[in-house]
Amino acid sequence: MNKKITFPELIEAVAAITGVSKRTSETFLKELVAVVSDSLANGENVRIKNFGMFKLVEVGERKSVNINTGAEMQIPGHTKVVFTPDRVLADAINTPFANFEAVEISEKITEEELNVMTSTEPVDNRQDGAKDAISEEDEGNTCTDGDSATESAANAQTDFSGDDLNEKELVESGGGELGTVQTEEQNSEENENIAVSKAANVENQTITSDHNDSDNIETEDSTSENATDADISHNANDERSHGNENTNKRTLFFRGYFWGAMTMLLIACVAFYIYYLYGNKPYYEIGSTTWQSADLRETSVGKFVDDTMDVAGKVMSHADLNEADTFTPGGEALHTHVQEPTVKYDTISRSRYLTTMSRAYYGDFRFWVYIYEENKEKIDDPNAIPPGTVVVIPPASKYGIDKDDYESVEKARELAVEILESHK
Amino acid sequence: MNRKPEDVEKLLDAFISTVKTRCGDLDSVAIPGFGTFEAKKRLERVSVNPATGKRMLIPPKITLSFKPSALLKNKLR
Repeated sequence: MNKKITFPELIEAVAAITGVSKRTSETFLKELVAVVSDSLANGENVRIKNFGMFKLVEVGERKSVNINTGAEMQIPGHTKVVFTPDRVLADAINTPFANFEAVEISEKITEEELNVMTSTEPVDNRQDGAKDAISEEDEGNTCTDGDSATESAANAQTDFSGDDLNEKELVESGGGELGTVQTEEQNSEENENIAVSKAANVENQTITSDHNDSDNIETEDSTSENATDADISHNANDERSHGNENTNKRTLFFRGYFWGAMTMLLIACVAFYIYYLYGNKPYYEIGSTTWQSADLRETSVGKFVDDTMDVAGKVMSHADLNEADTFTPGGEALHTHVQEPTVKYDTISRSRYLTTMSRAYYGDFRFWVYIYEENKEKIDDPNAIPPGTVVVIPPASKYGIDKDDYESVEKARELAVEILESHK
Repeated sequence: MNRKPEDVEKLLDAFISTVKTRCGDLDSVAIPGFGTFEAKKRLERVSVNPATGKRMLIPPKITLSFKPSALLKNKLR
């Protein structure tokens, strides 16, 4: 990180890759530089395939002021060289952020809200009731009150820890009774996003349609907003239009609470029942066998449950397991309930690394070091993990992960430096 | 000089991949007498489309930049 690679180091690296002697590599690099700068000196643009283009740009004469004396002076026109990296190279360097997309922001957000959003993630909005609900909805891509509705439901009846919403995945595959079956082929992240919105819609139907409050689930990761189909945004618009009066909002909101609680209770009951039917096999064991038999295609997807999409997440992971059913021996429907909400798995892929996982599970990419620590024996170099590697996501409590705690973040950062240093 | 084209290609690829990996780690690669390649992190920002007035949240990005050395600058003058 932020290290300067000197010329001898570069020579060494090139020699190591090609297997030629350092002398050859040195002369080659010198020739290369000489050729490029000579061509530039002759007024030619130089383009190196897969690398980029060195372009000459004319800079006209301009006036300036000497900052020491204040005297005006003339800067003569000259040519400068501009380097534009090739698409291939630019993309390769940008891979850590490649999965982000530009997102349109709703007009109703003010500057302050934006600043708040960027500095801290929205936390708990239960207490603020209906007033909060409106602003939250406007934000669209942050927590919605559906979140808090389900949250309260969860607090009401189970042993889930209230702060880590995403830690609980109520998974049950006998969901047919509930009408929330969702069997989507989920291969890529885009699909995932679509599945989220679909799941949200399905949920919409199960709860009555007039209080969308509890159903307006969108992922916090704003990229997904693009991918979600028109349904959900339509929903959101609807809400905005007829949810303007505060009183109306309030009743809708508490109705949302109520229905959310009821649904959660129902799901929990069925899940517990099913869980006892199936025996005490822990969820992750089933999960891991599933992954071994399935060709790793659908593994990374359903497990990714963000802060704000818990209901959708439930349906999703449940869908995931539904798929998994086909791989279990006996062919009997697999009925599970997550007893251990803290142990999760994920799969490394071209667009999903430790950092993205860390962001998804802990809210900050810097905590990737703990995922690495947890999977040390599987991972050699954290910068070069073969796609398809299944990693364990440790519970946030195990390493004291807290994205709002400066010290925790700082500790992770130091650890990251250490790890990266040992893999130089 | 006097090198086979395939050798040149191999060496050039090695050079490119070195720059790629090093700059991918946010390091900078300096070549004396020519310039420095360095990766720069651009933070996320909000931009406004002047035509439609729509506000877009542009995600963070790492870009490769090249800083020509004084020697190269003088040569071009």
